[in-house]
Amino acid sequence: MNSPGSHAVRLDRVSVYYGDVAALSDISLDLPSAEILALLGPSGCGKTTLLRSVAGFVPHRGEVYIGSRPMARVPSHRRNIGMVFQDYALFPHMTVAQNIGFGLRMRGLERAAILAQVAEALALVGLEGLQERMARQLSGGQQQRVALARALVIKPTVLLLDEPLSALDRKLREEMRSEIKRIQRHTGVTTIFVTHDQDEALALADRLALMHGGALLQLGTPEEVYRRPATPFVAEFLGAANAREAVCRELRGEFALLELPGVGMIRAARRAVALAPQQRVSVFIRPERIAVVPRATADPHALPATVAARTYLGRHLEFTLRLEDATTWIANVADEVVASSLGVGTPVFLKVEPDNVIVFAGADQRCEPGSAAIP
Amino acid sequence: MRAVGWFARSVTALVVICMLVPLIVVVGASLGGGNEIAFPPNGLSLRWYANVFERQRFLTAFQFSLLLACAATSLSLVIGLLCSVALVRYRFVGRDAVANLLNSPLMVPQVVLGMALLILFSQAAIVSSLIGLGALHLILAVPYTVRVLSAALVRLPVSLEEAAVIHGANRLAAFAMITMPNMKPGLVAATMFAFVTSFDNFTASQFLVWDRTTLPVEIYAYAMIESDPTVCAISTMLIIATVAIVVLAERWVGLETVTG
Repeated sequence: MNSPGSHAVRLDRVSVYYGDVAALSDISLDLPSAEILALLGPSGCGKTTLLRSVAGFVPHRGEVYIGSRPMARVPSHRRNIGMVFQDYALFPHMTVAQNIGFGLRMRGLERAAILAQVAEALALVGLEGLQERMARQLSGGQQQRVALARALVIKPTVLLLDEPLSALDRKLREEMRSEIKRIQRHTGVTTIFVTHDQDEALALADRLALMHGGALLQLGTPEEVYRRPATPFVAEFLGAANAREAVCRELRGEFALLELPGVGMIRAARRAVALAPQQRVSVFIRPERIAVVPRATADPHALPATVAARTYLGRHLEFTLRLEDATTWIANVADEVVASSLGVGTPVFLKVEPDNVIVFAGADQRCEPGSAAIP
Repeated sequence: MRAVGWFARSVTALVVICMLVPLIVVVGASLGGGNEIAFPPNGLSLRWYANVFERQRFLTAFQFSLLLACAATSLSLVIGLLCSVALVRYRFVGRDAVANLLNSPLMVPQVVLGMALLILFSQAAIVSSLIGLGALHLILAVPYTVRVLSAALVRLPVSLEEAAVIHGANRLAAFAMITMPNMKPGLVAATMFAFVTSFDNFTASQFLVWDRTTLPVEIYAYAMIESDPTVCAISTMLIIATVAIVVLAERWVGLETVTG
């Protein structure tokens, strides 16, 4: 076992090329022991390729370290990795016990020891007593748990999960999500999982790596990545965001005064980006960070708008708001008392706390790479 | 809908009858008591069956055919397995060319193939039925084993083998413990195709008979000279053996997985 705080997995400039096409370019990251890392991104972003590089399934440049050992000369079957595949890949001709015990058998354990550890692993995933069932007779959720037990029973240095929940229906998915978290906390195994589902990534991950086009755009805690996206792509991919071009008009202490042409002025915190007056910027604002208030008290930093549509979504009301220049923003209002007073056609003010205005210098330009590092 | 069902059933019945009638004629004629092949048989007797077993040449030819079929089947299974792994699991330059080449023996007329091998082995002064026919039957069986085993392998997700490897099996162990058992229906089907291809072959085989001869060639030689129902008796025994094998395969892996 690794001591807490040590790095269980380290990638040093890992690149994968298919012909001339880079499926992964120059990925470097450190994953501390006992943490869960989510690789998140749209399909084709390289997240699965990255996972498979760690497993040793794809030839790559650069080096993968597990513990402190370089893996270049270590074949997949000697890396002591546990892995759950997207289709679970349970061996159809074997029983549940044989499936789970496979890795132990390969490690040359005695039959009695295998049986004891298999029973323990089954208990861990909540499937006591199913040893003799054939793998193909199980339901999707049970197969998932068996696949997890098979990966964990070998006490792996790293656990890899490839879209582990994508084949389950919504309710089961949420149940398994908390199951995986519970089991990971219980075993303390360092975990990397691939997903395209941002809710899953936010809920499960200690650290989140957002990937796009084979590159790592940002690595940080889910909160950091959500609140301080490193690039416009990250801002739009993770969570919804109202996007807008703006011009910086004035710097005032901690704030920058931004003009949204034809819409109004808002204040933004200056922390993230170096801003200069007259600079063109891109602004992103999360729908749940917009306060919608009746247009009563004048406020120079509130944006006038009218309610164009409202949709009741249970957890909150989604407002479609028409700004002065006839474009629309989306705002989510959780407070039903406030929301109920705002019918379609109501003139309103939109207020955004300066800290919740995400600003990028230039029109659609990436931020300085420094913001992608783990502190 | 009912009309279509009725039509389809009639066509099926017709096809089955057309396939069965020759067999019924052969089986019936083999039981005849007369000296000529006749259907319906005149009188019932097993004397032609007795005649088969009295003639050493049939037994010798049967033994040789069996030996050839077993050798060609096992070799073609090994070659077919290796080729289908290469063709299905790997991408390489000339992959399509190799796949087509492996199918080519099915495109060449068997007479041409037999002649070609006859010339080749004569030039090389290799006058052994075992080597000549062994090579021929291997050439004829490999296309079937490659095709059937490739189809079986394509259906197996690569992730099964990867799951075995990541949890501690080397490539060979993963293939032997995980991939092979899940290819069982394909392996049974490939075995049957290869065996029958070898055991039944006459057209090309007749060119390569030197010191030993196969059962189909022997039957043909007998029928050239004699016109009694002995050949019907042999054929009936072969039909029974074939049915027995198919039934066993059905019991073991299920027929639809073998033929489908």
